[in-house]
Amino acid sequence: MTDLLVRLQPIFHDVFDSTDLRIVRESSASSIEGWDSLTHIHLVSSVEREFGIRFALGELEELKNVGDMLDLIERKKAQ
Amino acid sequence: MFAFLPVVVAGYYGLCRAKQGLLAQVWMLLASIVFYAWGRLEHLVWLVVSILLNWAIAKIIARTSDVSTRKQWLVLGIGLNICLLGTLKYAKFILTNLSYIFPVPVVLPEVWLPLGISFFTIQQVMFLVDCYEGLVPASRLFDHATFVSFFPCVSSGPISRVRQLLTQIQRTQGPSAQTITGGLVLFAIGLFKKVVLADSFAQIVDLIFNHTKTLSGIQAWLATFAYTFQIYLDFSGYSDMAIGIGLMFGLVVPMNFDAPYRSCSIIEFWQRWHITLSKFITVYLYTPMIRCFKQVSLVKACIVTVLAMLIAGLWHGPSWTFVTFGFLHGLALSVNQVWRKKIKIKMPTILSWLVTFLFVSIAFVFFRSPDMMVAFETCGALLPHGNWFGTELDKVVGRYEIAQLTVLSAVGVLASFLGPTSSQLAQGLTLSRRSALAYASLLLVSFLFMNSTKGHDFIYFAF
Repeated sequence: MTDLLVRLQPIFHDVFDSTDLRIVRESSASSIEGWDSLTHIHLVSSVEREFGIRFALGELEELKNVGDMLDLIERKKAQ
Repeated sequence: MFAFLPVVVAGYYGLCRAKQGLLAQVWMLLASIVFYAWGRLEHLVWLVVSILLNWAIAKIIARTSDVSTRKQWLVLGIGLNICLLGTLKYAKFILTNLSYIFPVPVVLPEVWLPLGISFFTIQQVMFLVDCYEGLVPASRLFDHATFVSFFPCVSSGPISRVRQLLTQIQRTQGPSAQTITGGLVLFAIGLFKKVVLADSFAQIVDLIFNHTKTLSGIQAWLATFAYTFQIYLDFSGYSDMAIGIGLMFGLVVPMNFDAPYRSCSIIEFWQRWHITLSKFITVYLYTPMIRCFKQVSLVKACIVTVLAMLIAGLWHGPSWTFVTFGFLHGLALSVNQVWRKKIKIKMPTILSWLVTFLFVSIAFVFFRSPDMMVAFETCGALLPHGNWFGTELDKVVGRYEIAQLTVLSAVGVLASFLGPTSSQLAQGLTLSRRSALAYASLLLVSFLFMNSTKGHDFIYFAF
């Protein structure tokens, strides 16, 4: 799981245009400034490309924080 | 409703206590059918057609393993839902507009719009997509019918997803004393918001919107703000009642409003206003459209935002006023995005709140106006012009009514801007004689208003 978090870090730097940003499992739209619907879809697309997975539409709504995203990536990779 | 609801809740509670889960669900389905058919029996035909159609297509999608065939069935299913909605709700609008280009007389049979068709169509589309993506199994017909027709939500939402609601219906142990009390509290707050507060604003709004040709500046602003509060208190009142009834069945229906007029940007506004529709627009309209592009850019995101909001505007009704409402919000959301990503100047909170609130209020003029002419007349009167100060309300409304409307409007405004929201009140409820008396008083005052003033239908019943 920590490996996944390490791989997510540069994606967040790129999407949020901030190299200072440090994410943890609890990081969410309320703690990261600028995490809105556009950034969310940008983030999702980048994650899909990086991990070679595809999120279902209904799953996107349930991603409340980085931890949810990590769990879902792990489930998708295991399928 | 006031005889129907206690009987249905008591019956459901009794069956759940007797551990008759299946009979309890049958009871709920029957109650939903009676509720839906109550106004007009023939509406039920369209609801049944929609349920059967989507249930059958979901079954086929679930049984098909070939991805492209599954996709074809999904496209067919979504297409049929759009055709059903389009024929019943938009045929006249489309043909009338086409007749301006091709001058052929339009004669259409009078079709009554089935109650809640816009809402249950969205639920059906989400269900088909979730089935196609393997997130939910194809339901049994009995379960699907219970989910779609669930009477507190069928007419105006909140828009629920199968995973949220059906799973609860199947697993529920029935309501507890606590959930029934919480539900009653939300119901009482919702009813008060609707019949006491929203309907008071409605009196001001109806009076002024009937005279838009001679509006003074003050009247135009009064009508604009009054409608802004009317629609919020009306629709959030309805949503509170629906969520409250859901709780009386022991079911958690998703929240629809979170004090939207306290928002400091349009993006924030749509995260707090009609939340279940907003999620549908973001997840099921905006995301698939933006996914069509290989790379996401700000310009593409703005174009897609405007397109998604145009569709959302049209979803409200077959009129250019709703299309304009959607377009204005799409444009404002795009400006908000550009501001955040490129301009990056932080406005003082009070200024950003003011700009947001003014924009939302003015956009609602298009939502309220029966046609574009009235909308333009009202918007024109908002600008400085010769007749600025005349109110003349006291010539058509008595002084006592003005005083009453002023007091109730002040309560409505304060409730919108300050204090806890309805769901916070219900969640933080501590049972005491004082709180019981307070909420019983809300119900009593609401009943008195229902008997003494001219009631208005819920605004969103028209959609």
